[in-house]
Amino acid sequence: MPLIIFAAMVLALAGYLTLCFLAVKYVIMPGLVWVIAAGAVIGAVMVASSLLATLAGAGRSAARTVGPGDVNDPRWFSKAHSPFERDRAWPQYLVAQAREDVETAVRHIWARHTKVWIPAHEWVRRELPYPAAWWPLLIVLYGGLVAYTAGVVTTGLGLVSLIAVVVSVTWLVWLAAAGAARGTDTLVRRIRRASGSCPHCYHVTSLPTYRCRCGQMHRDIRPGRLGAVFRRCGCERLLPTTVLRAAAVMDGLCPRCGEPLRPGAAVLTDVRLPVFGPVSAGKTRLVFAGLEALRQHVTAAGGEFKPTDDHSRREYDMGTEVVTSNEDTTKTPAGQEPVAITVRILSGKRKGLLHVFDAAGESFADREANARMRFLDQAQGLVLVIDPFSISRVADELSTTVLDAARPAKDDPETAYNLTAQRLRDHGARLRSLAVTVVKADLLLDLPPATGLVAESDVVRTWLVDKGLENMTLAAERDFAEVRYFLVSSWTGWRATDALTAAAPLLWLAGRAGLPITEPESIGRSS
Amino acid sequence: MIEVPIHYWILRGLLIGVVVVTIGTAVVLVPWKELFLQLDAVVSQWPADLVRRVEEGS
Repeated sequence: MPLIIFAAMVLALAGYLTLCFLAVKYVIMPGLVWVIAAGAVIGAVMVASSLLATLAGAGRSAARTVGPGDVNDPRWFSKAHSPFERDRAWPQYLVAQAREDVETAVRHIWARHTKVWIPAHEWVRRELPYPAAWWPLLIVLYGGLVAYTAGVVTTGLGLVSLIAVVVSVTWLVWLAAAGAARGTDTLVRRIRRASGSCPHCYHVTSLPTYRCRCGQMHRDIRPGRLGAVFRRCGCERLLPTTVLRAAAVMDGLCPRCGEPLRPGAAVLTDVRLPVFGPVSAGKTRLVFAGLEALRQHVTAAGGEFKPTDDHSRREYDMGTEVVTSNEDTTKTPAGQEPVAITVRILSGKRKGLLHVFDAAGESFADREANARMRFLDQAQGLVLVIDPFSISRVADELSTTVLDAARPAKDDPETAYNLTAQRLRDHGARLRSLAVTVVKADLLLDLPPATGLVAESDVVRTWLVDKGLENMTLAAERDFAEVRYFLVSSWTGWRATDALTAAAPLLWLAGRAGLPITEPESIGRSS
Repeated sequence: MIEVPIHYWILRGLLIGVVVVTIGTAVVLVPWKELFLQLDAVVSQWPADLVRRVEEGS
């Protein structure tokens, strides 16, 4: 009996193996070729569809949007080289969203198309008794799954690589465009020697903050990750990306204190000229007369001269009225940091902003008060006002009546110079150009101490040395890169045609600071 | 729904276009008919072998 059972089992096994052999050779193998081909094609079609659905943002395939709220996320952006966070604006697609799209597509493809193995495996375990006995059928099933997965992986890798190449090429084109825009913006402004100086805190910047109409601050408007030609603010408004274009449509603000800058700040040549000297030396009158004479000079040459803001307009109008009607100027209040009179000048092809600072003389007589005069540190040139009647050797030669009429400055110019130069050195300021300006020439020239004095730099220098200011002139020439000496009259020199015009030091310093002002043909100075 | 900037869609359109054109080019350039015939020829070998064996009575 056991022998019969054994023989039956051997026969059954032989029959099973024969059937398996025939099935594999004549059914499974021919069918497997078609199953593999179909599996691979279906896998390729599925992965392409998934990728396209993600890129098209279809339904649940859509990638998360990388928007203005993500610009400070270290996953997308390295930390900005700035004390401030990145501006809240839409990032350029290639910077972050392209990566998010591709990563989302890969995640979806992996999650959806590799899961087909799990239901197939469960079906085999659930529906087939003794699954191993159905191995010829499993060859077809798993062969098809392998082909499908291979189609998914191969096509997926191929398409993602293709997208990576396209994104990289587009990125290079974009980088070139952004670099060109940024480079041009920087170069043009450097050539112009443009900068923006804050009338409130005196901070000088080449990169003002711009405020969108929604109130959002844009601290770095230059072409970059947030846009090459335009950027889109978080409020959806489209903004220009270069400082040159932004300044034309938005108000610039000081990045340090947030106060408004003058129109044209950081776009036009910026010339900052403080006037300093002892109390009652004649600084304010020199500023008023100098600006009025400068206006006449510029307009005679066909240029434009215009105060930029209400404060400057008010001060300029008042000052012009004072000097043209020969009224006395009022004493500049002590203890306050001055607000510059700013004028916009168009001369030839050059446009610029000229800021003239006039602080009270007390600020230059006291080391502590002088230390607070922050506007001095960013100056491209300075005007040192010397009242000749305050020089002891000059005063010694004159009668009390004459001196009383001249109302000389209270302190000697050397003290004001030394304190100011020391302050500038202490604060690391660059000492570039100094216009040493002897004022009250209309009174001085008729008196004996002025014998031989004329409005020429070398002559004025020699005269100052003769009158005992040799130490000061030597110190000035040692401290500053350039020093020139002027002789002016603030009483008659408000006329550009006057031989002692008060515009002379301003014209020289503006030219040295990158704002050369054209000499008018018609102007002929009286002597 | 966040209104994404138009340039997002322009660049996504570019990527979709590149993928579609690449797939389209592959579909057009691959000689599907010859491939199908070659596969068919390979697959037909086994039934033909079976028919021959049955006819020979082996």
